[in-house]
Amino acid sequence: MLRKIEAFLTPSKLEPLRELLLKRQVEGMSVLQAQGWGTRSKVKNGKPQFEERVKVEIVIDEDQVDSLIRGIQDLAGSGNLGSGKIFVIPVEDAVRLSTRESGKSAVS
Amino acid sequence: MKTNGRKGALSAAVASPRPSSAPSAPSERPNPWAIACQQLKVAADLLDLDEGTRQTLGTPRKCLTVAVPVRMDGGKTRVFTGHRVQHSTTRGPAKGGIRYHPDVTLDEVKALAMWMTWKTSVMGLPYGGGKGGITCDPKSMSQGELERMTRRYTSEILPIIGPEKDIPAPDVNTNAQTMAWLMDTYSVNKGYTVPGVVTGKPIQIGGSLGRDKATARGLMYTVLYALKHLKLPATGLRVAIQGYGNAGYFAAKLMSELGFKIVACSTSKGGIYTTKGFDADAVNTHYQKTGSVTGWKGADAVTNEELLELDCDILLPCALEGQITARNAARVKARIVGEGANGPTTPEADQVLFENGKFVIPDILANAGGVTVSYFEWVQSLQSYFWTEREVNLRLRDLMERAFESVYSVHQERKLDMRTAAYLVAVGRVAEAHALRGLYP
Repeated sequence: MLRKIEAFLTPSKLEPLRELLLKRQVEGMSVLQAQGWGTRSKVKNGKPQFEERVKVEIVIDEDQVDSLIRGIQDLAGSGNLGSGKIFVIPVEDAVRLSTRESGKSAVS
Repeated sequence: MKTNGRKGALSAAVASPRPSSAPSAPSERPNPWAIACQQLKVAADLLDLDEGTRQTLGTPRKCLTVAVPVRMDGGKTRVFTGHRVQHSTTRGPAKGGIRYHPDVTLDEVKALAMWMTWKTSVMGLPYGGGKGGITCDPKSMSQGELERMTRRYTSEILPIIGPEKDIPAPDVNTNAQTMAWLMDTYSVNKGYTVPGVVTGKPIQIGGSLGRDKATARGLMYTVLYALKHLKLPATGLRVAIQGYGNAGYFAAKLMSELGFKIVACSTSKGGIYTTKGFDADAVNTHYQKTGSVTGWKGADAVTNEELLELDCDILLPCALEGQITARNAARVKARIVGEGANGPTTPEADQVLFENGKFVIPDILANAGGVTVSYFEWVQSLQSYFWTEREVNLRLRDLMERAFESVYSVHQERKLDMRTAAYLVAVGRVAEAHALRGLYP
């Protein structure tokens, strides 16, 4: 089963995350610039303020999910409020256009 | 820190038993059936249950005592006594382990079966409660003798067990191999393979991934939910673990991955303590090599008794019953006590912990991860379709959270300690199911 990791992180974690994924031989990642607020955001005039974040999307096999989450947790550090969040989403299928491989082999 | 003056109803009542119809203890050792009946009475009073329901819940539905003749290796025959008790099947088939121990008595098995009813109920699993046991000394028996005893016992209790009736599991001195023998004996008698008759089987014959770590994982989740409600951060909190078997070792491993500092652990041969915290795997390697955690470099030696009184934030008794007693309870420093073992806290100690503001996560909730993944194993066996370990773990987490929150809300609303709250949830659900099903005929 494939899973998509959606991680919302501070921009400074992008480079360490790329290194982590390379070390783990994960095939790739997508990065989107994002703005957002959460429970820990600064409040101005009674409103939580938008903060700069990156949204990283990585599709991997279910077997790799837990260890990748642990890796991201380690590089984000613990106890730092506002570090971000990770979501894990089921992916029904993946297709590599160049080879027409699908499923797990399309992402690994 | 006091727990807001909440009542320690169950512990107080059990510590000073009121007159009851429960049998009196035959010896100095507290009679577990008497304790179980008293606990039920307290919950029934709080739930204002009628007399008929009290009697129904206080009476095991079925008790089967069997002779188990076994040809010993020397050629002689010995006859052991075995029991299988189904306390309740109101919410589903009976579920509970089988233990081999010299102290097994029918009263003990009855009490353990009743506690299983409450455990499956508090977790919201579609089961009742059962338990079995053989009075024997398995440590003096060969593998062959144990196999013959298991097979004969299985064949004697065969009419009352089955995937829809009563599903045994490993317990004290029984393991995956015992369950494999039980499953095989049942299957041979039926004429076809019936993996759903037991849980805790080896993976190769229908066991579930994640079953080995299930108790520890469930325990860890309950601690995390407790911390969230107590508004304490997990990072850096110090954890002391009594017992370094399946539950203790995996609890150390899983919790250190989350940033907890494991400062102490022990086995029956003694324990270790270091304020720096230790690596769970390194200590386990030392334990597997030497048969003891003591002597591990970089930690001081402590006794099992001292471990319970160490300066730490979270204490996880994962060894034997009756460890935290009236004698040492006042010296427990941990803020949270998570009962990985069954009955590690005596009722008298429970009251002391409660009065000292300790947050006790009761055994029927804290160590229910094991029976929950047993339930998953049963479901997978019935479907002959198996889940990934991650799927097992996520489903376990969700059920543990649901159960914890249901107990915690009763704890808050009725101003009761967590153990009494858990009993209220559990007994209430069984009573409700009983009322809905009605009385036959």
